[in-house]
Amino acid sequence: MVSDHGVKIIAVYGFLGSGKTTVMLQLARAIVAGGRKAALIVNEAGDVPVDGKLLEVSGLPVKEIFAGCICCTIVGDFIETLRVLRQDPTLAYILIEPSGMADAPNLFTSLEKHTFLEVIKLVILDGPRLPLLLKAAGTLIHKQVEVAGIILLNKIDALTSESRGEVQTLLANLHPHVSIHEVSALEGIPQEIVHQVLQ
Amino acid sequence: MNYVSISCRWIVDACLARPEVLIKYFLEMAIQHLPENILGHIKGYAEFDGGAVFASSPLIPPEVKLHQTGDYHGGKMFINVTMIFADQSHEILSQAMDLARQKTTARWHCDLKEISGDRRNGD
Repeated sequence: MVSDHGVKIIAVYGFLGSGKTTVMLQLARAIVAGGRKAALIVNEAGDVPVDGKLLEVSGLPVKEIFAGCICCTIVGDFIETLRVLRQDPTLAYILIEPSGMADAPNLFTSLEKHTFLEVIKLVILDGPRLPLLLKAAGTLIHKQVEVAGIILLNKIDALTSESRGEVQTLLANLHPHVSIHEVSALEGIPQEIVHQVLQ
Repeated sequence: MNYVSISCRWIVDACLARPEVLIKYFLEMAIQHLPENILGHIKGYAEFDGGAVFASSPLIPPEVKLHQTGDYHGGKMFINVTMIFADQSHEILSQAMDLARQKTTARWHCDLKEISGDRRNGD
């Protein structure tokens, strides 16, 4: 978890539209509010850096990686960006956001192998769409959850009590052994969860 | 699963709509011309002097959410939109983008002049 000068690498990943950037923004703001320094690496598909722009206008330093969506093509860019950022001894955290269509688990394996750093893996799951995503992209979602250190079940404000129970059951069957936090990132992630992620 | 993404940027010199109205309307029009219940999302932002309005929506179901920084006091805007969807053809996404531009132009009497376009396929 801790690298050469103590910088922590936190990966915020999940399927397209799960709320990764909203979570990144709140984590980064909490880091800055605590008097520490963070850098963000965002991998986006397409030429228009929407997520990167949102983070940038919020006053956060962002490095963008636009190369494709298959991890073998972007892993080199991530490694090089991490190498450059790690030269800053004042940096406390590096937050990385792979594209929502990336094979994030394979990316993390490659990053850890090449950088000798442990990546803290925070997966964001879209609560209301989880049942559908498990049917349509089950293999990817299973892999994402399997490697997660912390799970944020997002958009719970959009779940009825009945659908919330269904999603909780699905999730418990997927990965019952790590912390699962139910949040509405748009309404704000509770401070105790933010602190747990940043520990 | 095969992903396709396209992105476009336009400059808008004058428009009847404020940026939050314009970007929301654009995304809604694009969504109207995409197949229902497809996996992925559309997102974009309207940038202006002093801020931007960010918008995004999935299609299951569509729900455009906005996030604004800064205040708009008139002047030109830059509209930036990206679509990423699974198992769709490039033509379908491109057509939805073009139709959204046409309808936005007609509805708000503004000219969206394309700055650059990235109509590449995903992997």
